[in-house]
Amino acid sequence: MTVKYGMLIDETRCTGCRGCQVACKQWNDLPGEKTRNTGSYTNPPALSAKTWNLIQYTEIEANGKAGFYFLKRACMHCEHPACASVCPVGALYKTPEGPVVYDDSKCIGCRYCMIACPFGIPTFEWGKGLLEQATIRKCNLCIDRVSNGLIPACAKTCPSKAITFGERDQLIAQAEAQIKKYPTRYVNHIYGKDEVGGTSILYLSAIPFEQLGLPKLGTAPVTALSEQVMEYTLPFAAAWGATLTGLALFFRLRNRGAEHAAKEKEEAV
Amino acid sequence: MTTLNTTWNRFRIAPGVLILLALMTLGVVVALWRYAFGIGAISNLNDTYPWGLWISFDLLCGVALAAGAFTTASAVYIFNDKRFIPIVRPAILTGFLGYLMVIVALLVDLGRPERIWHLIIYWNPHSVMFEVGWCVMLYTTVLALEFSPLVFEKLGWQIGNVIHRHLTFFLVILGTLLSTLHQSSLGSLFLATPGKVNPLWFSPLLPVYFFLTAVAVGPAMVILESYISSRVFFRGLEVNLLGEFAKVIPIPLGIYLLLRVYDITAAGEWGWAFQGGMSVLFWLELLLGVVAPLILFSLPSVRRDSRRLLGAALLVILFGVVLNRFNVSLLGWVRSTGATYFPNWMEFAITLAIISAGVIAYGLVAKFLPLFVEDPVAQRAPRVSPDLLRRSQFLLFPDAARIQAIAAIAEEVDVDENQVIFEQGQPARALYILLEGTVRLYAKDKSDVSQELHLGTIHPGEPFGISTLIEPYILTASARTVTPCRVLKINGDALRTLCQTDPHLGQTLMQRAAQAALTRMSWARTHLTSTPS
Repeated sequence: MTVKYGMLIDETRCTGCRGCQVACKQWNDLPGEKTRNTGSYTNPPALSAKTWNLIQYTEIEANGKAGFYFLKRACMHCEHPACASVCPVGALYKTPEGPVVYDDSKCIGCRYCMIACPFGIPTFEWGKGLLEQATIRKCNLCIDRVSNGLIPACAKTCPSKAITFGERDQLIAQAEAQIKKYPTRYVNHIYGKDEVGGTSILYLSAIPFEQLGLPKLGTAPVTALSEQVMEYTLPFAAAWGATLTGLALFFRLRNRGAEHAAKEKEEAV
Repeated sequence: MTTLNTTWNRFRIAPGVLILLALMTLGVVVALWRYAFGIGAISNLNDTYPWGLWISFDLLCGVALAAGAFTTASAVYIFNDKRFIPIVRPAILTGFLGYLMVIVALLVDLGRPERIWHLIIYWNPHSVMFEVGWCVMLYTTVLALEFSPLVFEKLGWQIGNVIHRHLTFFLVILGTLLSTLHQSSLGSLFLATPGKVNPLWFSPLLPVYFFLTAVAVGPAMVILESYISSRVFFRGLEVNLLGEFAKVIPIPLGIYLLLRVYDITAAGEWGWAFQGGMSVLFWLELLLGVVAPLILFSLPSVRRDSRRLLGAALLVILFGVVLNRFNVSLLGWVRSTGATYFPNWMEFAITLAIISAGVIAYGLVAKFLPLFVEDPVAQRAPRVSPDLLRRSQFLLFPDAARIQAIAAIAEEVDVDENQVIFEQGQPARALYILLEGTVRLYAKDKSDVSQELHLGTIHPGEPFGISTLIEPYILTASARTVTPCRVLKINGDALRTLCQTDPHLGQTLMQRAAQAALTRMSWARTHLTSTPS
């Protein structure tokens, strides 16, 4: 029985130090990127092929006072990943251990994964030509570290213990206990426990998750409908093919019959 | 003025073709730039807008607008309506070129175009894109096979006949099946993105919507394509035939309209139809692209008039399909970040280059391959009323049978004013009889090609292009319309065959042709000698 890993991120413990952001770049050998002042502490402004893990800063008034809130954004490693469901060549897939990973030897660069991901995570190397071989990039939950008994770089580096790496089931139990223990500190919801069928990354927050920058999503995987349609495709094709053949034969015989009758009539005259 | 006109007329095709070639060259340069420096170097696509103009227009609109091929083919070979045989080949060609254009666009848009074949070896049966990829590959092959008889026929190979006779039935059924699957699947692509598409467009019925609109736009595209080719190639426009074909359009449009109205009502999303900029696009799409053509195509007065037919077809094409595909895949999207997207000029350059290549390819096929086949059924029956022939002394025969025989190989063509009908030095492909209007015959001056020598004026009832009857069948003059004209165009090959099989008819026509030539020559002589040059 493989252990299914996950990561619990307690945003109330996050100090916004960006240590995880740097550790991620270091471990994955990601280059720095040219950035600009957007008026927000979030820097660079968005996830990119060079930045797989990003601290987003939100300044809002909550519980009667102005506050500074942080969100560690990276791949959620869904239980039913939309990216993997829609990838035509199966370049993205869910490992039994939890991480959703990418096989860049298969990818054709259609970018449907970016369209489908409900969290807007996969990014593309827009500046690479044919020879440099552009790929899709995103967090892989440090699968190279995890499979060697280490914990992901971001979790390892976090100084305030906001990131806990472990078995997903245990993390859920831990999060529930935490909410029970400090009911005033947390919103009574573990984000990722049930969202889009559950994700490997779980969040605890002091303010509603939408205010933090996470989308409000249902509990069904976003690709439930498209997968269902795909399941019906072959039976439908068989039935429709038979119908078309039947129609074609019917009209052909009917016309032939009509021509025949006309000819006979002509001959009779 | 005259000189200018003459110059333009001589290069009548050239300016258009030059523009197309220039656009193609620009596209090739931009594409090379993209292959060297990445998609980001030529487009404004970004991580928030991974899909843009190329997916919305070149892929989604491209595939939908190529639907004329399967709708026409199924009308003839599944519903066995032989009337539409004359429009099958042009429709297949438009479809075939359309799919090739889609593939070329994908080779620019895909991040790893050199791996497009991975679709064949790596399978993910959950993915709608996987199914679209397979269907497009297979259907392009089907279209290539359906198109191949034109090439074989030209080469004189029997295999074309074999393919046509034995495979057509199978190919058309397979093609219709594949088209149903991927036309609808292009809609299914967006079933994976609930919550991202404006509720006025997101619906579990998206695949049904995409299919129905494709069926409706197929005949509309055939109308557009016939209209353009009748102008460019001086072919008769089969208005009656197209009007009959257009009768089918209100059926898919009507079902589509009912489903969408029901769907939005059932989901309780009408509120969206009255707020924000998208609501304007929604009403444009629904009223101009669906309701208006639904009504127009139901009216016999529209179906009998080529311009009205064209107008209604353009409504379905532009508002019913193009606007719809943009709304579903780009404009109606709710984005999580503040990023924006408007296509870079180089994205337009790629799209325009691909369209230009398609137009040029169509022109080349029309020029060199037997694209416009004569309808075998119509060939037996007179194609124009024999009464039309009786208007001309040139074609007058006492017996009805001979007039019938010529009527069977003639067609009535309308030509605008100041159009060159044929040019000196070209092979004489048809004999013309002027029915209405005025035509001017002229020759090019050997020393100064910009100068025209006026050789005579043709009045209603008179023949021109008589080189068609006289060896070596090369035109000795050019003809241009002075006013809008209606002409009777008699197929040259068929007429010459007729003259051989019916020597009496041949000799009579030959005598009349010689007479006409002599009259014209003596007129020209007096005219030319009396005018100082």
